[in-house]
Amino acid sequence: MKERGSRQVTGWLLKEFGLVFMGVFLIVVFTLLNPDFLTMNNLVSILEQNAALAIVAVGVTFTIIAGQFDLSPGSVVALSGVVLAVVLRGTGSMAVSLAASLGVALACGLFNGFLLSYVGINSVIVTLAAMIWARGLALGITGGDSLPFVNPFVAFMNNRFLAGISPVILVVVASYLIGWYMLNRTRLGRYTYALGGDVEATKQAGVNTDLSRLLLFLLSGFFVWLATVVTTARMSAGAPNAVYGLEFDAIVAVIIGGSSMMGGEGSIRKTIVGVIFLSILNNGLSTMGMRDSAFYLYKGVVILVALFFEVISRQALRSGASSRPAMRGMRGAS
Amino acid sequence: MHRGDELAQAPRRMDRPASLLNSGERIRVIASDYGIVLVIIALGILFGLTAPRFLLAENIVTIFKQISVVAIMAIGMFMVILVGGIDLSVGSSALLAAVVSMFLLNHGYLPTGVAIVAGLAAASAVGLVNGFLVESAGISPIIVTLGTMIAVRGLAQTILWIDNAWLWVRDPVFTFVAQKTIVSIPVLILLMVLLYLVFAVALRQTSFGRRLYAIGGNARATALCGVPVVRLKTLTYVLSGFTAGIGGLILAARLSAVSPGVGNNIQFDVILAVVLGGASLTGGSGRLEKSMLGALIAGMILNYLTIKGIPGPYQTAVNGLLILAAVVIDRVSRGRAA
Amino acid sequence: MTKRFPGVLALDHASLSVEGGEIHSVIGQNGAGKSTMMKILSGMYAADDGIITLDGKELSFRHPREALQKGIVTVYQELSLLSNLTVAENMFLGREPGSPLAVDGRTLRRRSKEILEQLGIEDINIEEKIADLPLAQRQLVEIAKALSHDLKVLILDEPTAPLTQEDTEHLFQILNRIRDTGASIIFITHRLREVLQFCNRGTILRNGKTVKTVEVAGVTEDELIEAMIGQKADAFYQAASHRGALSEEPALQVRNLSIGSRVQDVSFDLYPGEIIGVTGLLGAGQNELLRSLFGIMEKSQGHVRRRGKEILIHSPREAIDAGICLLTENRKDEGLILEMSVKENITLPSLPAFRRSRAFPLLNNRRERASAVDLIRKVGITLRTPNSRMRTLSGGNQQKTIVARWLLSNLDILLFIEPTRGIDVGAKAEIYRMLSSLAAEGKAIMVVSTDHNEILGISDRIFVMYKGRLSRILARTEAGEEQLLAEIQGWHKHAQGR
Repeated sequence: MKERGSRQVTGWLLKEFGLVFMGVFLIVVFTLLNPDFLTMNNLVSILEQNAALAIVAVGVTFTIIAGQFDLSPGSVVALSGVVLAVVLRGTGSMAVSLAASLGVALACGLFNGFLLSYVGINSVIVTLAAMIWARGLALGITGGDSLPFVNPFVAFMNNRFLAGISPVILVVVASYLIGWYMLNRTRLGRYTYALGGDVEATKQAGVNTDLSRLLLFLLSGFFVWLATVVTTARMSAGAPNAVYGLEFDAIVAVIIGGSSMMGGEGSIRKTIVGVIFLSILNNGLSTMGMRDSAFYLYKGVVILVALFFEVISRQALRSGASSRPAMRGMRGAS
Repeated sequence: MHRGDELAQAPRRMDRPASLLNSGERIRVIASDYGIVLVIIALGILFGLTAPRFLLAENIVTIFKQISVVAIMAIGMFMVILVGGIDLSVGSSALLAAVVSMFLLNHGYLPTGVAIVAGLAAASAVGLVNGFLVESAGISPIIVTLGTMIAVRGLAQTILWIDNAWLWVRDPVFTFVAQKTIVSIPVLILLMVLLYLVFAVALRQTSFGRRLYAIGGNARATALCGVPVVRLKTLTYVLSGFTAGIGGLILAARLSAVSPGVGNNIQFDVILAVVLGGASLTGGSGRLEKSMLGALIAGMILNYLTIKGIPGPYQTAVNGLLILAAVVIDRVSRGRAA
Repeated sequence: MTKRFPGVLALDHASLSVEGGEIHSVIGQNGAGKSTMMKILSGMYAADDGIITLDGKELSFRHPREALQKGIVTVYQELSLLSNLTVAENMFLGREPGSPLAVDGRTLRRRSKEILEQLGIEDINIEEKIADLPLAQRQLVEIAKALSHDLKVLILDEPTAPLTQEDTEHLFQILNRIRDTGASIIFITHRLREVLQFCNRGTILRNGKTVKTVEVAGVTEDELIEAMIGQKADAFYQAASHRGALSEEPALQVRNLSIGSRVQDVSFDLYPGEIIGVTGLLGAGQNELLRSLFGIMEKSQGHVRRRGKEILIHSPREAIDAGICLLTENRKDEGLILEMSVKENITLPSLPAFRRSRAFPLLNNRRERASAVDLIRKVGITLRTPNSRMRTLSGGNQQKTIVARWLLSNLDILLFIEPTRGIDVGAKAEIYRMLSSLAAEGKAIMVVSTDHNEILGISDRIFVMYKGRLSRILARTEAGEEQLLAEIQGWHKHAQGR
């Protein structure tokens, strides 16, 4: 019943391959400007540098498929990292510090999820506020300075012990495996899609939607913690100024990868594509050695273009029937 | 919602004619309309008692001067939120306006008026881009304005770098606005009040304003009444850029300089002011004047914290919590309307 | 049971009694309380008063989940399927086999297939996404989903509205299978034909009360109609009070109008003073036709002429300028601004007319209020003040407000889609009266409706749409319900001209 007009085909092409084309184009440009770009060493570095982004993107995938937004990861990573450093300085035990930072990340997720589900505040507001107060707390605790520390954990995490792969990379891979399993093989994963499709219908089916959303944000908190672990290991410090803008990058990665902004649709695979694209963009632009201002300008433009393609392709695909159906529930009737 | 089931949409308690409300509900209605004034008075008393410096005339003037930029930018933001959108790029537009004006003044030897117009035009143009991408291309306003926020700041900073990231503001018009007074009321405050008057009247008493409220209430139904919805919504983004531009120019005037960090994160303060002022984030309701009161509350709280010596970052944290508080109150007073 | 909403008595000691192993229909006008009763039975609402018993045991629900657990499953017209999930996933949503951390996909798929087979549904693939299924099949999935519970009572709300005759028969084959297992089926419908054809017993509701319960075998359609509306059909529809076309010159001429695949090559003339009823199966193109005349659906071909001159209508604004207005079937989403006052809703399209002067853009409040009050009176809305919020009005008054809105703009061509949907009997009569007098004033009116009795009652001419084509035009005198139904199903299409 779906008419495949030429518009449809273009839309499909754009959707599936648009990003890949753009990615290839970028890779070519970057390699021309910097011949070392395509070396194994550099590629691994790219992944390491963007590990936090990659990990957070998994959690964000869940949130976006469920039709919500999460703007807090960057600030919570900072806060959680600061807590880790502080507890480490106090107790000297990395294990305890890791537990403490996990607690903080989960608590933030719980708080946000609670406000969303049980008080009924829009996720944008809740996480926007969290973005602000978590960062504020982090800055306040340290007085604005970073808290460096020395611990064998750092060396361990950054050690490329296996064919150039370090535990940081393993954490990233593990995140994706866990994310994939949770999304595709557990009830919560199913409910995530359901929530993104139609909350009311899901509730009618007997699912506890409030609890599900709460758990989603808790899960997000877990991934945020993993990102914290990776970030503090790389910097060997708890930095309140770390990863500004991480959440935006993560959301952009998920959406550019093809998951729908409106929820109900998406996958881990799509997020991987988006993350790779964004990592290449980040790394390529920064090796060009330009000022921050120009960096953000180019980055913003590339992202807007990619988003534009995404939207166009989505609209083209939807216009399979050349006019909108008159009533709800009529979709698909021929 | 179920077909043939208008009865399911049971009328909410607060909307029945006043005579049918019992006293408990009456209090709620009054509270939501005038509550904000009561809150300001209550806070004023509370702060005044615990920090006497707070109520000094000089401090009060300072508070008003400090909130003026946010309050003015809240005018445009209110309109965007009223029609159901949001604009996260106002901080960057503000910077752009300042940069463009100052650049032209310092390098182009153009008259002040032209430079100001150019700056405002630049900021409005950003609004136009936002409006186009949101309304005509159909992308979510959060994503669009996030993108322009980053891109425009980058653009402004690039221009700024031509002058080593710092531009002095020495123009007499600017210093007039920032520092002088007329009949001992600071020009800044007069400007703010004037802008509010103009826009508040426009919103309440013109077909333009009525249509904006209608769009916020139900954009589809409004479009079916022949109202040019897309055009009007785009216009709100332009106006948001415009007031952001005014804000940026004032910031430059007050700091006597333009630096890359100008306006950074100010959009959250602006949104906070609008939300504290009682506008609904889903659009369709609110009163412009109350946004100024919202800015005032935020300003009072931050001023108080400064007097009490609480460090900057914690003030930021309080800001974040304030947003939450405002929204919780909004939700609670409306009842849980999905 | 009794159910009271503030200001509105939805159910007034209404009662219903259903046997096991029967198909029991519940009929009544919109607003009679059928939906409310079903929502109470399904656990969405709680009754203010009254008892529900199942197999002799008293029940009370606090959440739809509890009703489901007791075996009472409701299938609403707005299906509760999630279009982005597959058939199997939808069927077991919330009750997936396996543990929370390890969903057993294989069992899920197996049991879904089993249920479909049990019902005799062969042509649905459980892996398909709901979004890709046609409506008739989606409905079958909903019913299959119902069966995945331990079913005692199945409640269906207007399931046949969008279906063809063929689909309807298929549906009832399946329902009969379910009935034969001893479950009870409660069936809400407007189509009296189906009641007489497929159901065992029926209960009629009117204005929240139970009028009577009958054995279908011994009752006629006219008796049912009379029970539903409380008066004889003729008087209700004001059939006699207006006279049809008042002039030889058409108010609107439509030639060869096509809209994609939904409307094909439709041509007709519309005369001032007449009411044209447009009907057909859901999806036959009648809604799209009217929507394109108002500029909200792009036509791919065709001409529209007004007073001899061709007009282009690409937006509501252009339609309004040409004197055409549309009242859609979806007044909550597309007609009303619930948070604004009645006055503001009425004056919205005509705001520029209330400026104090050309130069001075401020609105003249007094004039605006006066005009609004005038129109409120004209359409017969009883209000304390024009400043009441739209949300507080009943469905009938809300609909009248929208009519008032267009009357204020003084337009000649009035298009209505399902104007009496969701309105109680009394208000319906008032709307019919209003349509009649508007026609008598010289307005040209088109009404789309799926209520056949309504169409037969109010129209001067009847346009039947079938698969996008205007398959038949009937004059009031020559139309009867049998024939109308046949035309709608397309059975006489070989005999059509233009």
